[in-house]
Amino acid sequence: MRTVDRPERPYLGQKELDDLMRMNSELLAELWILRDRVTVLEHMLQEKSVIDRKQLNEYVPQGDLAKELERERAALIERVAGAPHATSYTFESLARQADVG
Amino acid sequence: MITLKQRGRAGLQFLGSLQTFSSSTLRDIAEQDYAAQPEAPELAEEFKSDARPHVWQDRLRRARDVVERSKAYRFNRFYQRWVGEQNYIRAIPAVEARRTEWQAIADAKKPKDTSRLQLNPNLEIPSWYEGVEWHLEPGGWDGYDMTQPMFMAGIGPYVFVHGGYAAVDVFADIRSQRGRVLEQLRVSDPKRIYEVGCGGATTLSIARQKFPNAELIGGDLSPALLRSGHFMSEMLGLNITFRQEDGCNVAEQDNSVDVVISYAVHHEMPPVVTEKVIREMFRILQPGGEMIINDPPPFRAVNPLQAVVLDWDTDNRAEPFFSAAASINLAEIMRDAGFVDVDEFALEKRGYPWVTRGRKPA
Repeated sequence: MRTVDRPERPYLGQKELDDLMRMNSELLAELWILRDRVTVLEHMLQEKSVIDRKQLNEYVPQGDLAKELERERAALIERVAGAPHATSYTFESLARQADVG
Repeated sequence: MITLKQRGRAGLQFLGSLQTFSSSTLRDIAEQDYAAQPEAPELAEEFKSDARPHVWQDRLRRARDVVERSKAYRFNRFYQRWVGEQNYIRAIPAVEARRTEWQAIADAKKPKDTSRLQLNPNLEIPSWYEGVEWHLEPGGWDGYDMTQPMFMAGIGPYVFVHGGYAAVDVFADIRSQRGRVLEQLRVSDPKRIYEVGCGGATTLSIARQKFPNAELIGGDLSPALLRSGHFMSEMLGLNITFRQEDGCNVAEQDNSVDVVISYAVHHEMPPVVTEKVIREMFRILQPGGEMIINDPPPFRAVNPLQAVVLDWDTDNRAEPFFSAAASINLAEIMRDAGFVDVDEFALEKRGYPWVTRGRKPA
């Protein structure tokens, strides 16, 4: 089986940095694919008169929906921005994540 | 032609945008960083002169040490490599998802019976050609039977269209570059044109537009690329003869063609093979005929940062002969083979396309 192998020499000074940048680039690609899909979805739904994209832009979540979004936003930030600082975990911290997940 | 599903399309479009960012914004910062280094003026002077390959390696090593001080350059190289790999990692699954549709198109094609494909299963494939994953494509040119739709429906329109890889400058139009190179021919009405290393016949298809009545012949080592070129030629009625053969020993008679084209081929072969190919092309040309070559520029024709970028392809984009080819002087090789009126020049900035042309004495 012929393979394409990565060069030994890292591009960013050390292999772990290259690995992290590969993960970051992969996530960026996935993020874009998802955004592309949502935009296409909105466009198709509007063409079929299911939604109005202008209304979507103007829509302000209220009540339970607003609370749900706030909880999920906070949890996402905690997971991503807090990852370097999460040096230990407890049953409670894990259970709290499960609650919002 | 097939269209890719959303995931494949958006993923490849992302690669095109990332490569554009890397080869414009990051590259510009890297240029500024490099220009600010104290060694830059001296290196620039040194790089202007021809040198033996081992001298070039020494120059490049010293220039690379300076260039790599730039964080923007290091990230630029990281992204260039990552996109180079991802082209295939994303395009192959995307095209596989359309295999049935592609097969239906191929089966339904109405051949115009204008073109001929002559494969030679007994051809001795040179050792330098075998086992290379050219451009990071697993299996090389002949590793994947869907190479044609992979490029035509995927990598071509979504990634390569923006330029910004290897010697191709960012935002360059690689198709119009081929036309501009052919415009440099000084033979006005060729009757027979031979292209050595014709690949999928992109350049010959443009030659057909420019010379509607000429007989076109393309030779290549790769059966997959020849099949791809033949398929396109049949679909479009281009009337081309495709022949699997070694450029060092082609089937054409002495003094039998008016023009030889060589497009982005010599950097894919060792210099000693380049010399043999050029002598072989001299043999088949009519007196007064012309050979025109486009290839990445030699190191002496670009600034040290661009030379380091070109050299980088050798080890990082599966181009084993890139540096060796950029160290030689094609114009001198052509003169040594007997060509006259030889000249060389860049058509666009950063030295590419780099044209070398010469005539066989009348």
